[in-house]
Parts: sequence; C-alpha cells; structure tokens
Amino acid sequence: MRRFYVLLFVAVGMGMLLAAAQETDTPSIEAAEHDQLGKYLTDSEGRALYLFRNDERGGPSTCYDGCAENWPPVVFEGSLRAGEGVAESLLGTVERDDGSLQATYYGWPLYYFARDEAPGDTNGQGAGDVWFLVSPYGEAVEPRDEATAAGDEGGKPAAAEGVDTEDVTQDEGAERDEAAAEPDDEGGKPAAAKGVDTEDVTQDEAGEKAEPTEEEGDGADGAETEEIPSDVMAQGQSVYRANCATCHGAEGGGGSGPALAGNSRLGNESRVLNQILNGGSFMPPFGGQLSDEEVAAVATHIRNSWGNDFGLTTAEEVSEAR
Amino acid sequence: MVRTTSKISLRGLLAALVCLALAAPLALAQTADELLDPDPADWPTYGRTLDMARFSPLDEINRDNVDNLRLAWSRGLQFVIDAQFSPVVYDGVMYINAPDQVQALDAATGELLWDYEAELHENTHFLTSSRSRGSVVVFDGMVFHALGDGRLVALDAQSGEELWSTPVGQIEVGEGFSSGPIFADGKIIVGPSGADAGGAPGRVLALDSENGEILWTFNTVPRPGEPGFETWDPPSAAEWGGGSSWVPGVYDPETRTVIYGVGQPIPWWAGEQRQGDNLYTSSYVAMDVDTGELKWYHQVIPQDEWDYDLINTPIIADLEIDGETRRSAIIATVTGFVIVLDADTGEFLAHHQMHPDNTVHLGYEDDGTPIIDDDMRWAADEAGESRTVCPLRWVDFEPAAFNADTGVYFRPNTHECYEMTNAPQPDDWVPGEDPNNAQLEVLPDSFDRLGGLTAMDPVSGDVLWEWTFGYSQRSGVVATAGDLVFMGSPDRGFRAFDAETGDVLWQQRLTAYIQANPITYSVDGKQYVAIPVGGEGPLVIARQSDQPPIVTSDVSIFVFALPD
Repeated sequence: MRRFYVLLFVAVGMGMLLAAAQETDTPSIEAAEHDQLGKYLTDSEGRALYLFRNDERGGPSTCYDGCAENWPPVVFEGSLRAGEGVAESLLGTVERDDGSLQATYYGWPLYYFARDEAPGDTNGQGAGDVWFLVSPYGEAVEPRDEATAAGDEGGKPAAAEGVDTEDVTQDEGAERDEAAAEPDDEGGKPAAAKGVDTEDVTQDEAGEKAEPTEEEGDGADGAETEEIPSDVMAQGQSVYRANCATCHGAEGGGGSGPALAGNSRLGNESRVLNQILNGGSFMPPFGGQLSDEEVAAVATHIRNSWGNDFGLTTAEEVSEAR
Repeated sequence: MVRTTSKISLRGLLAALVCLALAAPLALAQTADELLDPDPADWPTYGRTLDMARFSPLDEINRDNVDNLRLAWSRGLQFVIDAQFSPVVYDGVMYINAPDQVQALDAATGELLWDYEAELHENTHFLTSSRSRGSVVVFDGMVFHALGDGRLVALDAQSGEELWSTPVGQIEVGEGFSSGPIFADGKIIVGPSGADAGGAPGRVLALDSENGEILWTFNTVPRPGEPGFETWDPPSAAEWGGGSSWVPGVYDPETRTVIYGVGQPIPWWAGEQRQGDNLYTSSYVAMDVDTGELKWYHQVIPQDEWDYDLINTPIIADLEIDGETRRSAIIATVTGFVIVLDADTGEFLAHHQMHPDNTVHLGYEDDGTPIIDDDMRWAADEAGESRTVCPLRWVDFEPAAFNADTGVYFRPNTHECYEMTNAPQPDDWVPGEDPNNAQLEVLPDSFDRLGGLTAMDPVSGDVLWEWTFGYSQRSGVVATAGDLVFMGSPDRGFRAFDAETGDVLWQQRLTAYIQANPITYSVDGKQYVAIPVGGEGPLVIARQSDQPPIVTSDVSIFVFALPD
C-alpha cells in the first residue's frame, strides 16, 4: 500500500516535471548565491554544477564509468540557455563517447554530484581537491577563509590547494526527503542518483563541527564517558589511515566522502557499524576486509576523535552487527 | 516672499505670517527647478548648472574692473588633502567637501555655520581618503556628500546633522569615493572608485534622494550575462577589472541622459591575462536616467595598457554642426583630443587633436573609431620594457568651462610625455591590494610648455588663444558674463583672463599651489570669486626643469571681491 502511494507520488511528480519542461522550452544554466562561497552555477532546478580539474579546459570529459556515476555529466538535448547572471558567450557543449552532448562553461565540462539532492546542496565542493563549483566567470569556486567572508581585508579566495572542506555545508533532512521523492529519470537528471540512500548520507551542519555540544550527541547511544583504551584508538587510527582517510580526510574533514569530524550522526553506533560493514551511498563495504576487532577499533577511533565523543565499540558488538 | 497688496485683510496677514514663518526653512530647500535654472547669485552644483558649463551670468566683476579685486575673506580649512574639489554656494551658504567632512560657511564672511565630520572606515584607501573631487549636491533641504570610504550621506542643510547613510563602495577591497555626487532628476548619482586601490570593478549608481535607496546600478565592467562581458578574455579578468569613475559625470535633462567617464582597466598590464576590448573601461558611457540602461558608449582606448582614465567631466551644449543644432557632449580625452558626441545617441560629431605629438592614440577614423599604435603595447615577453607615452594626462580631473553665448570652450590642459614601464602584477596579488606594477617617470621638458589654458571653438577646433606655463595644469576654470575666465595654477597664481584675448588682467600669488576649482557667486548683490588653495597628497604636479618646486600646505580658501 505504501509503495503504491510512493509510486503515485512519483508519477504525479514526473507529470509535473514534464509539464514544467514543456513550459520552459530550453534548459538553462543559472547562477545561485552561497553565503560563504559566493555565486555558482546551477541547472534550471537549482542543482549545483561542478567542474573537474582533471579535465582539460576546452577538451573532452575524462569522467566515465564509476566517476560518471558519482559525477553525472550534464547532458541535454536541443539548445541551452543562459539565465540571469550567466554569460551566454561562455556556454558550449562537448560530445561524450556515447554521442550525447555535455554542457560546458568557458570550456569546462559540467557535472552534477550524485549526493546533491536539493537546491542549495553543494556537497561536492572541493572534493578530492579536484571537484569545484563553477563561478559565473568560468572559474573554480575556491573556498574563502572565514575572516575574508566576514569582510576582512582583501576578499581573496585562498589558494586552490588550501581547500577547506569544513566549508562544505549541507542542508538538513526536510529538503532531502522531498528530493528523494523526485523521479530520477533521463531529462538531465543524474542516473546515478537512483542508488542514493539518503538515510545513509551523513551530513554535518555549518558551525557545529568545531565544538559539538553534548545535546547534539542525541543518537541512539548518546554521549558516553567511559575510558577508551589508548591502544584501541591507535589501532583504529591505523586502520582509518589505511582504508578511510582517502575519502573522509586525514583528520576526518571529509572529501569525496562526508566529514566525520563533529558529525553528530556518528552517535548512532549501529548505523556506523552497518555502514562500515556493508557500505552504501558510494562507500564500499569493508566487512570482508576487516576483522571484528579492526572494525571495532576504527569505529571507536572515528566516534571519539575530532570533537566526537561517543564511547567504545567492542568486537562483540561488531560481531552481532554482521 | 513678501508681497504687497492693496487690500489688507486678516487672511492676507495670516498668509504673510505663514510665509515669514516658512521663509527660513524654505531658504535651504532647493528644488529641482532651481537646479535646472539656478538663481544667478548661486553656484549650487559642481558645474553651477547641470550641463557642467561652469559659466556664471554675473558681470559685476568684468574685464574693465577686475584689476581692482581685493581679498574679501580667507579661511584655513584645517585639513590636508589633494584638494581637487569645487566649493558650491546656495543662498549665501558655501559648502566645502573633503573625504571625511563637509563644512558650511557664511559665503560673505567665511564664518563657520556647521561642520560634519565622519570617521572613515579603517580600510579606506589613500586614493580616496587623500583627495576630494567634485562637490556636494544641495537639494531639497539636504546636502549630499560622498565619503572617502564609499558611503553616501545626506545631511540636513541647516544643521549638518546626518539624515541617512548608504554604504555604496565595497570598502573591504578599498573601494570608496574620490569625487562628489551629481544631481539627476531627483536622484543622486555616484561613481565609486576602487580600480587602483584594490581592483574593484566600477559602477555608476542612482540613489533615491529621499532615503538613500539604490535605484539602479550600471556596471562599467559588465558582469556575466551583461552586454560587453564577452570583451574580457579570460572572463575572470572582469572580476577585478577596474573601470572606476573617479570624477563627476554630467546629466542632461533634455535627453534624460547621464554620462560618466570610465577609468582604465585593472591591472595596467594586459598581457595574456586581459585580452579583448575590456568594455567599458577607458570609455564614456551614457545611461538612461530612469533605468540606468546603457544608451551608448564611446571607447577611446580598447584594452588600455597606459593608465588612460577617460574621466574628465563632459559639458552638455547645443552646438551648431553642419547647419543643425545638435544636443552635444563636449569631451576632452586624456589622450589629447577634444571630441563632440551627440548626447542622446553618442554619434561622433567632431574631433580635434590638441596635443602636439601623440604616441599611443594617434587619431580617429571618420566614424569615431580610435586609431591606436599597437606597437606601444607590451607583448608577453616585454615586461619591464619602457615606452614613451605622450601624452599621459592631456587632461585629468580638471573641469573646463563653456560660454554658450559666444560658443567658446575654455580648456585647461597639459602637454607632456612620460616614460612608462609596465609589468604583470605580483603572483600573490589579492583583491584589495594595489594591482599595478608600472613605473612612471615624467619627461617635463618634452615640449616648450607643460600646462596651459586653451580657448577654442569645440566645433571647428579653431584655437582663439592659449596661455601656457611650466607646470602641469590641474585646476579647473570659471567663465563669466563679465568676459572673464578665472583659473588657479600650481605656481600659486590665481588669474583672471580676458575671455576674448587671453590677456591676464589680474593675478594674485597665494600661499600654496592650486589644483582645486574656482567659483563665483553673489550675496546681497555683491559678487565674489572663491578659490581653494593648497593641499598635499599623492598626486604629483610636474614642472619644467627651470621652475621652482611647488609649495604645499594645508587647505585654505581665498575669496575676492571689488572694493565697496
């Protein structure tokens, strides 16, 4: 029964989308404004667009297969229109291997990020130091340090290398649920978005990461104060560096994976263990590679570092979760 | 205000009383009509009239008696800046503008009526904290002043009390005001300056005089999606593109057109990093007063690399051209030309080369396309090489005058060459810092004179007379119905010229060099001529080798009149 309603909702949503698509004859590239990052390009529905530094400006896309699942290319049929604040002179296209046309801006092939689900989401900004939002001037949007954003001397973006993933802010649940109900079909929407399990997308909130308060640890377990053996933490750190840091950042600041530092969702121990063991949302499963002890150690490590304080996870708990 | 009636009634008496009661406050409530056609006694805006003609119909002081001029009063203004402003006078009150203040003086005695002083933001750049161009606007009982830190403030004209304040400039990157606002159809028009300060792209804005609300903005460096943006390659060059309006523009009520000059692009170095024509830098732009939409533009230097700020205030005039009366904008280009454009359409009507030896801007095609010597540009591998740039500043900020009765244009100017080396800005340049890496060295003896005053017909280009000397001329002029032209100069001389012959009929050596602008006005029927004197700041006044150094000082004002 519930499934029926969801399908009905999806069908109605698709109908509305089609109607909207017919009204606005051509798809457009628009400009949106981010509090910290300034202006960036979106599609006509407000979804953030990215450039890939590994592409060559003016050249073809180099993002296919797994890359294109995470970073679906902005493909369209017919012509593309420049919305307000977007330079028509910089719009272009480049052909993909399958013959489809990918939108470009100042020669940069444009992409979505599969984990962005609602207008305003900019979860891919700075990912891996190679994925960036695109400014209306055709440049990678580079993060500004907070002093600058506050109007301090010289509004200069920090150097590209200094990507500060802590600036990645995300919206809270309500909007995601709506987004999840939207159909993810061809019409320029990312096919890969289908696989996204929004429940598993851990998100942090701007300004809270640095000093998470006790109240925020309202996950299933809540805050715990028991002693964590230092050897467990050390083992966890070692496992983390070998398996997790590439995506989540050496200090849990996030990257192509979400930030773990100050992330209140880590309070939910069973969810954390499920994610590590079984993967999901673009994260591979680690259950086959890591022992119960190793999983327990890395879970303890991430749940008690970088401002997190959620207590010890034992190998027995891991075993039960398998 | 006082009327005599043959029949005295209670009602008439009441009306007279009401009239008297209102007289004081109304005295300062200047109306739009008064700005369109000012009382002959007043000099209420930068150019006296909105056309910026700097012409006064007063003739009590004339060429027959000007040699009797005596000092009426003088006053130290107690600030030290590059004083490039013009006082204004409305109804017996003189208003003086500095980057952080306005002083209201009794125009007949020099007594201080009130002063307003603001604390400028700590980021205020020296280019806007050290110089004051243009004037305040007096309108509707208010005095409008553009502060050095980019705020436009409205003051009560009677008390100097601040009524509202609108932050216009992006002070975080050093964008402020170097010049005062102008009045246009009830709006206050401003052009912030940030180019050489920190690179901020230029704008011209219209604010509601009642509440300071920004009504429209014209981007002199187009933003993405605006026409002209495609003339910047790479497009990111437009993000910090310069194009400041350092000097007041002009408003023509007849064609409802606001015209502003736009400065050079930033950084000075073009190289590979700033290709294209770089609209609308080094251009004049004309905007619709109601919407701010571009009506036309005239770019003098595409992709400027020589610091050619095309900013000198135009004058609006009806000129007879080919048997037709044309509503015209008379413009002096920094590159040494006087050009005439149709004020409504921008059509190129006339041009005259006034500087003797041009090395960059060589001339014009018939259709108004400028001819530029591209060999004077710096190729990518020519950073640090020197070029002899002639002129660098045939005119700068100094305003001209125009006598509509005789059709004569009085143009202060300077013949000069500079050695210029240009190089890319440092790699670690960030917006908010000086984006330039050029060196300038004046060649003061390139010609037999430096500064001068040229009286000419702007249509035919015929020169009636010319007065010249050994300093750059950076003060503006006043023309009067007394057939006189007044001008101050860096040699401490304040002079009255015969408008027909150029003879110096009267001159007075004052305390310091002069680069501010004279005005004339009358109070209680007595005509005065005022000139601000002195100052000190980053602007360098060039002098020929045989001339004594200029004398700097704090800023004073000297006011002259005929003996009673």
